[in-house]
Amino acid sequence: MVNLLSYHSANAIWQKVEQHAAIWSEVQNQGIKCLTVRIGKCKLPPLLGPKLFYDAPNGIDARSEFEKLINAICSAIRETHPKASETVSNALSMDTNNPFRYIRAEHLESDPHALVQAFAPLDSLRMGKFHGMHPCFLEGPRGTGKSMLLLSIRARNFLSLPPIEPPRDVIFGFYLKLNPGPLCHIGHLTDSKDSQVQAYIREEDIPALRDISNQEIILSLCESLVAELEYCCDKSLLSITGEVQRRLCTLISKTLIPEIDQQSSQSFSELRTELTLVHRKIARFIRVTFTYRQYAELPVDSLDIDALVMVIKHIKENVPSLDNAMFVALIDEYENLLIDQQRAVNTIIKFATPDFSVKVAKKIGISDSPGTFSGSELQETHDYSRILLVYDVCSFENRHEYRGLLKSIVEKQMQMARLHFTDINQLLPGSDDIKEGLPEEYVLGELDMMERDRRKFGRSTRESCQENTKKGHYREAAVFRAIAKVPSRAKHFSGFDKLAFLSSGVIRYFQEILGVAYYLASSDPMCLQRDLCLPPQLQSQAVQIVSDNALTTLSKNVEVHGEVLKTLLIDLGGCLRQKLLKHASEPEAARVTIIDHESLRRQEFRRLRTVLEVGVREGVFQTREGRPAFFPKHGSDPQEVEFNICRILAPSLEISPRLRWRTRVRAEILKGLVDPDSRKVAKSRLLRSVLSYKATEGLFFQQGLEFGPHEDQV
Amino acid sequence: MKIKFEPALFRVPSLLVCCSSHEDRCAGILRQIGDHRPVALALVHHDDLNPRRELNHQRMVELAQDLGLEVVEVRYRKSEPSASMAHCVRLLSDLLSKYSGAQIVLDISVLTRIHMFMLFQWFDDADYWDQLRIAYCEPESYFISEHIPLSFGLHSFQQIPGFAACANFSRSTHLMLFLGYEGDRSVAAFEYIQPEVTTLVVPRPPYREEWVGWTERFNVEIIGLVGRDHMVYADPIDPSAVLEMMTAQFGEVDRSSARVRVIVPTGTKPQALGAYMYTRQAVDQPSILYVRPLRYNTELYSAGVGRVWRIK
Repeated sequence: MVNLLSYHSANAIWQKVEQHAAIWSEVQNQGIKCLTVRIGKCKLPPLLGPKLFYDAPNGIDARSEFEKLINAICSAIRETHPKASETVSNALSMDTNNPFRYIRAEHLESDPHALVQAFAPLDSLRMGKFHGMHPCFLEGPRGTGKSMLLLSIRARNFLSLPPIEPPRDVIFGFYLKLNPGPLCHIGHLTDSKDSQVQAYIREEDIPALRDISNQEIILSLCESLVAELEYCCDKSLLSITGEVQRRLCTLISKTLIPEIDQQSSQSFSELRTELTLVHRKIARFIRVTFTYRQYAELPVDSLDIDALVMVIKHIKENVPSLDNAMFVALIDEYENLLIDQQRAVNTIIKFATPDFSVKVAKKIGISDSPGTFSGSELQETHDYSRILLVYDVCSFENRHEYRGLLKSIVEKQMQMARLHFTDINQLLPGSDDIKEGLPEEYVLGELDMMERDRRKFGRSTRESCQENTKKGHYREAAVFRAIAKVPSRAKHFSGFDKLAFLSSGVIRYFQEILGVAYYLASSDPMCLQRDLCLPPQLQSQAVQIVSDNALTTLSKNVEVHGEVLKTLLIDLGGCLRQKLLKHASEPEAARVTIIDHESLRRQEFRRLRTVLEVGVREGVFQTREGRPAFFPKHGSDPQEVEFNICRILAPSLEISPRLRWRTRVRAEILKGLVDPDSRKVAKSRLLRSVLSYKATEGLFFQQGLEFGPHEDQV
Repeated sequence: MKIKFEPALFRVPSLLVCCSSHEDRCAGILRQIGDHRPVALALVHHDDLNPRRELNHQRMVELAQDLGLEVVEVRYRKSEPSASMAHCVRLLSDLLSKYSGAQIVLDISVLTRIHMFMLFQWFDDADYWDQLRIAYCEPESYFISEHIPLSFGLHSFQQIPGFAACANFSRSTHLMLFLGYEGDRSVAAFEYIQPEVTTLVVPRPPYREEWVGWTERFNVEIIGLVGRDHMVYADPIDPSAVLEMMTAQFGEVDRSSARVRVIVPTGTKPQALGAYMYTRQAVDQPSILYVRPLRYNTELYSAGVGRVWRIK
């Protein structure tokens, strides 16, 4: 709080009252700091004397003086409240010895053995599909282990696995990470998948553009294949004599670039240099043709899928240990490709088998572009299968599987850090709000109040028979309500089960929580004994930090729509919190259900549709596979679609992570929330609709039952 | 190279290429022209709404006409870099044919980074690199705050159109991040590229002595993530110093690298020139990625024209 004092303050009665309130709050509530700023030569009240933070006796007229004051306030805020992102980045810095800092596959790239060790295999059904010949798309939001899974069958990692009996079939995976940079482009912007922006690409350019996209992808796959062979050879994972290497390089060179002198490549390294030159020629062709609008000859015309198949055939014929191997192109970050580049990859997927397989990792929620250059579209099941890396922590089977995966990852990470691991519950002991000092009578009081509200409205006839169950149902909501009445107190989250549940099926969030908790514990040597134990208070603190970080970084890390997505979440969260604190029968209701989902197809809802799609892609909203929502009450009602707010965001939004009830909203209201001009009105409408307020009673009731159809309330 | 700009540079027939902007320094070179005058001025004019820029643009045109220069306006649409570049190439080619053998003086002070890189590449492709001289005007003062960044949010990641692709991108990635007063962009680039190795380049000495440490403060998250050990310093004005630093970090230009190299040039423009100088010589070319912010902090901008440098 900033308390501004000027010579007017002496006679301002209301300001005096506010000053007293501010000082009282600082004394009463931990975490609140009151800064006193004196502007001009006014008299300072004795109580505020020692609290003077900034003195501007000559007033603040100049811009520089104002900047100085703002900077001083900002510095004071930073000192007392370090940003969540700062804490997370310090905790997960690669310079620390934090055992949980390996949150990405890239952190383990230099250590193939550690990479294979760190990742626990998925269930047999998914792994069976993944290890099979049939091409597949691995789909999941950020942080679900897609890259880690792809890298687990990269040749250098797969061949370094310890031998087993009977010997496993050899998989020779070659990996391509398609972040921007590796492929040339002609000036599309990232959002240029939109046809409007593509309009400046001339019709006559399209064949040349398709051709060059296709050639570049094939060239890159061949380079990756050669680089993988070279690595495995250098590390003695494969035995290839010098003679075989020379022969193989000549054959590959002749296949890919017949225009170049065949005798030049004697080794894998020389062959790669040759291929590098082709890249430069392609880049020049793109510049001259599409940017300078001048004529240029296509640098190569022999790079197609047949050439790649021929290269694989040469390798199988010349390297005996790979004659029966399954070659797999591992393509990561498919979503970064432009439409024509995606088509080039789709064409490869369609025609790859039986010569080789393709496994592609992409973020969930990215609209599929099934087009190929062959004229026929890519068909799911026939041409590829889909492996979803989405763990629904509400489903018993999924939750069990996900917890097993997390346990295994933690165990392996601790082993890598040479830490003793006995039991996950010993590492992450649980506690609850009552044990952490929340008076139980507060919670019981809230439960009684909720029960009274329901009974008052005549809803407890049947429910009273199940009082105990009901208390169980509403207890968590009562805890939230009790906490809301205690200043500066936050909901407590600790214990393996709760942390796994909060991470909402995203491995990275779980690891971040552990990483931050370890970082916070590292100042206490008692925690870092032989048997590592992260105290419940620090776990809960870490949850809050990770949650804040996940919310605040949306505007920094998500392209174009990040800021809108963040404000949408904050607004939705605000309404859901009101529901949690006031609704009589449906308090924990972060299951946001769009009742007229079909409206989103209309043009005026385009922005909302895009924001929701981005939200799903970034893991902010989670939808369900198959039927996304409950069955409608009546057969004639249209199916509703759920967008569940990711549980990790719940602590930051101060809502319950348990998605127990639905909050039904109309697309029209959500549309208002993503438009800065109508946001305020839309939020008021949403608040009214989610609470279904009956003024005469002063109570809030379940929508659509007591007050008739929901539509009437909007 | 970093030497004080002298108007005597225009002793030989020269074509001056400038860009108009809302910043006063856009006319810095034009105002310094003394007795020796360039033969023509190619004035880049951006298309986005900016009344202050329009005012400066009009003043620059009038000033050039008063000096008796031939003025050619080069329209540049930020949303269509390739199409705009095609237009730019046509006009510049015509001028350079008309004034054959003329020296080119390019003022990069207020050019957008994407356009700047594309221009460098075209001068290279069209064999004008040796004829090219580059100037940079520092602002006299910046209205910047110790705590408020120069931009917010993230619009998109853009590869510079037509730039060479990295060979063999199955390799792990080495990211070189030039840091400025926009921490959000650095973190976004890091999260997006997910490199195995990162080098953070901090400009030092800063334009003003009292700004020492501000870059580190604005980039505290990325420095925390990557670690202070990966921080290096480079002169904000001298591209040769940047080239030297890059050679030390990325390796010699005539050798292939064990890693794919990606450059994010969010530092100063002369540093971006240094990055281009490395890229053009490298056998195994790094790729350049531009991180476009969602919006700029329009409250904070530069004022006046400070020191003017010739940096190539």
